[in-house]
Amino acid sequence: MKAAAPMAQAVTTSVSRIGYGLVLVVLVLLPFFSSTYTQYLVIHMMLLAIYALGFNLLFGYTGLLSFGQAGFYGIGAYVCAGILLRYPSVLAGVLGGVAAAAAAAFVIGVLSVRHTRIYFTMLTLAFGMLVYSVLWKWRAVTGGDDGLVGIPRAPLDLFGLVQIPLRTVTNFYFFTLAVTVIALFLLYRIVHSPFGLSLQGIRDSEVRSHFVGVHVRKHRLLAFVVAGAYAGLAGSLLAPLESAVTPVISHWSNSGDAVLVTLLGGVRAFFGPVIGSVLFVLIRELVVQITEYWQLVMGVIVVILVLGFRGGVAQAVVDAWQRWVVNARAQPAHQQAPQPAFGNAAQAAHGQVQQAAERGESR
Amino acid sequence: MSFQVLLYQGLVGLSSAMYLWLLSAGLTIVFGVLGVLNFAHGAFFMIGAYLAYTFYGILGWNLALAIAVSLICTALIGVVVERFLVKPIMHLDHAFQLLLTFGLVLIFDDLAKAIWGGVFMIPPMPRIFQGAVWILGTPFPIYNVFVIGAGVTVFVLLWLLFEKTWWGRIVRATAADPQMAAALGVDVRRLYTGVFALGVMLAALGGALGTPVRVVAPGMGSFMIVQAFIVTVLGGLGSLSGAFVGALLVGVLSSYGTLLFPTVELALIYLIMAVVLLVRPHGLFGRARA
Amino acid sequence: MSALLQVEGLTKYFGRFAAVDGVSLTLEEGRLTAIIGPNGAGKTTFINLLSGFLVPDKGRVVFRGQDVTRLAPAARVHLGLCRSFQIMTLFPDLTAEENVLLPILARRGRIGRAFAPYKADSEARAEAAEVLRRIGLLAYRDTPARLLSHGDQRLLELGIAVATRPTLCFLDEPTSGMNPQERRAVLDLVRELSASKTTTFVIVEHDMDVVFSLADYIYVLHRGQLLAGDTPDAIRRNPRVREVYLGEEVSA
Repeated sequence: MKAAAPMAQAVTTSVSRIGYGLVLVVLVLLPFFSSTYTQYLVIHMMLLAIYALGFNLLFGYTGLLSFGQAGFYGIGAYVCAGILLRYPSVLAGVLGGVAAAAAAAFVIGVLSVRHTRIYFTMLTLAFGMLVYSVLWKWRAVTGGDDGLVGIPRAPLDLFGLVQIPLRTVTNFYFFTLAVTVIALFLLYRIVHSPFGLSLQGIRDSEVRSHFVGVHVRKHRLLAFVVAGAYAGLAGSLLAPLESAVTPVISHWSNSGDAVLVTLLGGVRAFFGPVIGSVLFVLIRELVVQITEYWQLVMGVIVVILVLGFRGGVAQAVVDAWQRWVVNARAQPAHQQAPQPAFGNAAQAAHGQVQQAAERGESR
Repeated sequence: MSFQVLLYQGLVGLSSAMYLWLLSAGLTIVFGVLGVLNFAHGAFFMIGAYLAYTFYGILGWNLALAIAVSLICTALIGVVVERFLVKPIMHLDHAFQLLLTFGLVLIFDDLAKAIWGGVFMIPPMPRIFQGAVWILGTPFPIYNVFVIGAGVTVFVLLWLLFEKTWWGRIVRATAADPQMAAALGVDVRRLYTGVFALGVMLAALGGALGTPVRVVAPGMGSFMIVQAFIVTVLGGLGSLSGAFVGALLVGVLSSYGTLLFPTVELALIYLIMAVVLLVRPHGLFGRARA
Repeated sequence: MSALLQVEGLTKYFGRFAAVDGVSLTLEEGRLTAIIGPNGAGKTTFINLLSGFLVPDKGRVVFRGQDVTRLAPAARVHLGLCRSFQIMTLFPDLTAEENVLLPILARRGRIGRAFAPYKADSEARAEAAEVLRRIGLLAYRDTPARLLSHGDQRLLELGIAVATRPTLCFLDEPTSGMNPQERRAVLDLVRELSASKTTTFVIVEHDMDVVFSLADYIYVLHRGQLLAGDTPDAIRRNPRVREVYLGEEVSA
C-alpha cells in the first residue's frame, strides 16, 4: 500500500516478493501432495481470481462499478465452447473466447462509458442481463437453457509441434496455473504503468484528469475492454473444465460474485481479488458441508464486511502490519499511519470534494 | 392478429406493469430521499407476497385483511432493517450500498427457502373478483382490472402525498437539503425511517397483490429487482412519474414482445433502457443527481 | 508581446440569467493579468469557459491563433492552456509525486504506455522532483495528497498546473483559505515562475493586496460584463470601479 513510510515499504516489498515466490512454489507442487478434487478447487479459485482481477481494474483502479462482468464471462465461455466443439485446440478456444469478450466489451463500453456512477452500473447490469437473455433464448446457437454440452477438454496444441493432452485434472491444473500466472503478470504491469496511473487519477478526480491532459473516456473504455477480456478468459477456461456451459453463468448474481470476491479480499490491493477468490471458494466448500444455506452464510459475511471491514482482508492485514511498524519506529508528524482507504472520515471528505467539483461539471 | 388479441395483450401488459410499478415506486422514493440504492428491495416484495399467501392461502383470512396485515408486518421488518443496516451505509459509496444490500438478498432468499420451503400453488380467487369484464368485445379478468385500478390509485395517492400534504413537503425539502432541514428542526432520522417504511410497504403491496394470480417462490424478488432497477433508471432516479411511466412502458412493450417477438422478449427491457439512456442520460424525468 | 488569448463576445446563460455577458478581452504573453470583480461577477464562470469546463452560448475564444471555443479540456491542456481550481481538485489517494507525474507523463505523450512501470521513467520522475522542489514539497513526495495540510495541498494544486508546462495558466483564487505565510509562498512562486517567462499567469482573485502586488494588468468584471481593463494604478483611480467596489461590500 502506497501510504506506508519508506522503510516499512521497502521491508514490505521484499517480504511480499518472498511470499509470492513461496506461494508459486506451493502451487506448482500442489498436485504431488493433494487430491484431484483439491486441484479442481484450486482451478476454480484461479478462474475466479482472473475474473475478479479484471473487475478490480475497473473498480478499484478506475472507480467504475460494473455489475455486468458475467456477460463477458458467458461470451468467453460460449465462444470457446463453440470453437472446441468444432476444432479441438484449447489454445484456439481460449484465444477465440477472449477476443470475442473483448470485442463485446468494446461495443458495450462505447455505449456505457459516457455515463458515470449509478448510470454506468445500471447500464452494465442491463447489458450483462441482455447477454444472459440472448444465451437463454437463442436455442439454435446456444442450446437455450440446456446450454452446450460435451465440450472436449482439447489438448494444448502449440503450433502443431507439441501436443499436450489436458484430459486429466492435473494436466489442466498446470495449464490453468500457467495461464493465471501470465494473466496476473500482465495485469500487474498494466496497473503499474503510466496508463495504470492515469486510471487511478480518473478514479480520484475525473475533473482533474481532464485538466492534466488525460483523455478520460478513452482510458475508461480501454480499462473496460481489458476487464471484459479477463472475464472472457475466465469463462473460456471454464468451458473445457466443466465440459458444459449454461446461460446461468451470465446471470447478474454471477456479476455480483466478482464484486463480492473483490471486496472480500480488498479493493485497494492488487492481490485483493486473489485473496478473496481463495477465501470465497474455501468458505463455500466448508459451509456447503454443514448446511445447504451457504448463500445465507455468504450474505452474513458480506454484511459484516461492509459494516466493519470495508478494506477487505488485505487492508486488515496491512493495517495490522503497519500498526506493528509504527510501534517499532517513531514517525514524524506528517507521516502518521494513515486511516484505511475506506474509513468513514476520509470517505466523507473525499466524497465532498468529488461532489463539489462535479456539481459544476457540465460535460 | 385481431384487434381483440392486441387489446387483450395490451391490457395484460398494463396489469403486469402495476406490480413492477409498485416495486419501482418504493425503490425510487428511497433513493430520492435517502440516497440509498437498495438491491434488497425485492426481498420486501417477496416477503409481502409470502405473508399475504400465508394469511390468505393457508390461514384462510379475508384477502383485504391478509394484504393489510402483511403490509404492516413488512413495514416493521423494514424499520428494523433501516435502523441497523441502512443507516450505517447511507454515506458510503454506492458500490458498498449495492454490495451490502446484495448480501441481504442472499440472506433473505435463503431464509425464505428455509421458512417456507419451495414453490407454492396459487390460492383460489376470492368470489368478488371471479369472472371477467367485457372491454370492447374482449373478456378481461376482473382481478386484473382491480390491479390496474389499484396501481393507478397508488400513483395518484403518492402524488397527492408528496405534492399536497405537509409531510410530503417536508420529505421533499429533506431530500433536497437534509442539513438545512435538520437545522430547521426536522427529525431527519425519523423521517428517513418513515420513508423507508413507506418504500417497503409499496414493495410488499406489489407482492401481496399478486397472491391470487401469481406464483410465490423464493427468488421472486431478485427476479424482479433487476427489472425494477431498469425501470427506475429509465424513468429517472427519484422520479415517481418516471417510475410509473417507465413501468407502463416496460410492461406493455414486454407484453407485446412476448406476442410478436418471443425470442427477443427477455432482452427487450434492457434494450429499451439502453436506448432511453442514450437519448436522455438521466432517464425520462430525471435530473443530474447521482 | 503578442496576444496569447483573444476573447470575443463571450456569453453564457444559466436559464435566462447571463453569468457572462458579451465579454471581449485580450491576454498578452508575459503579462501577469488579474481578473477581479465583486461576488457573483462571473469570474469563475469566465475561467470555466476559457478552460473548457463549460461551453459558451455565444462568442469565440482564440488561443495562439487557433479557435478553441468548443475544444475539450484535455485537448486544451495539450495546446498549453491550463488551470488550477478554487475547490481542491487533487488526486487524493495518489502521492504528491504521482499527482505531479500524471500531467508530466501526459504532456510527454507517455500516458498511454501500459506495459512499462511508470517508476522506471527516470526523466519524467526527475522533472516531477524538480516541480516538487520548486513548490517546497519534495519531502512529501511519497505522501498521499489527502494527508497534506491545506496550505500544502494548495501548493500541490499549483504544482500540478505548472507541471503541464502551460503557455497560459489560469489560477482560480489560488490563495483562498490560506494564512499569510502560505499566501506569501504562493505569491512568491507565481512571481518567480512568471518572471522566467515560460508561463503567463492569469489570476482570478478577491484579495486586493494580492492583486495589486502581483498584477501587471487588471480586468474588472461586474455582473458578467467587462467593466474596465487597465494597469493597476489606472484601475485604482477608475471612478466606475470605485463605485462598484465601494458601493457594494468590499471583500478584501
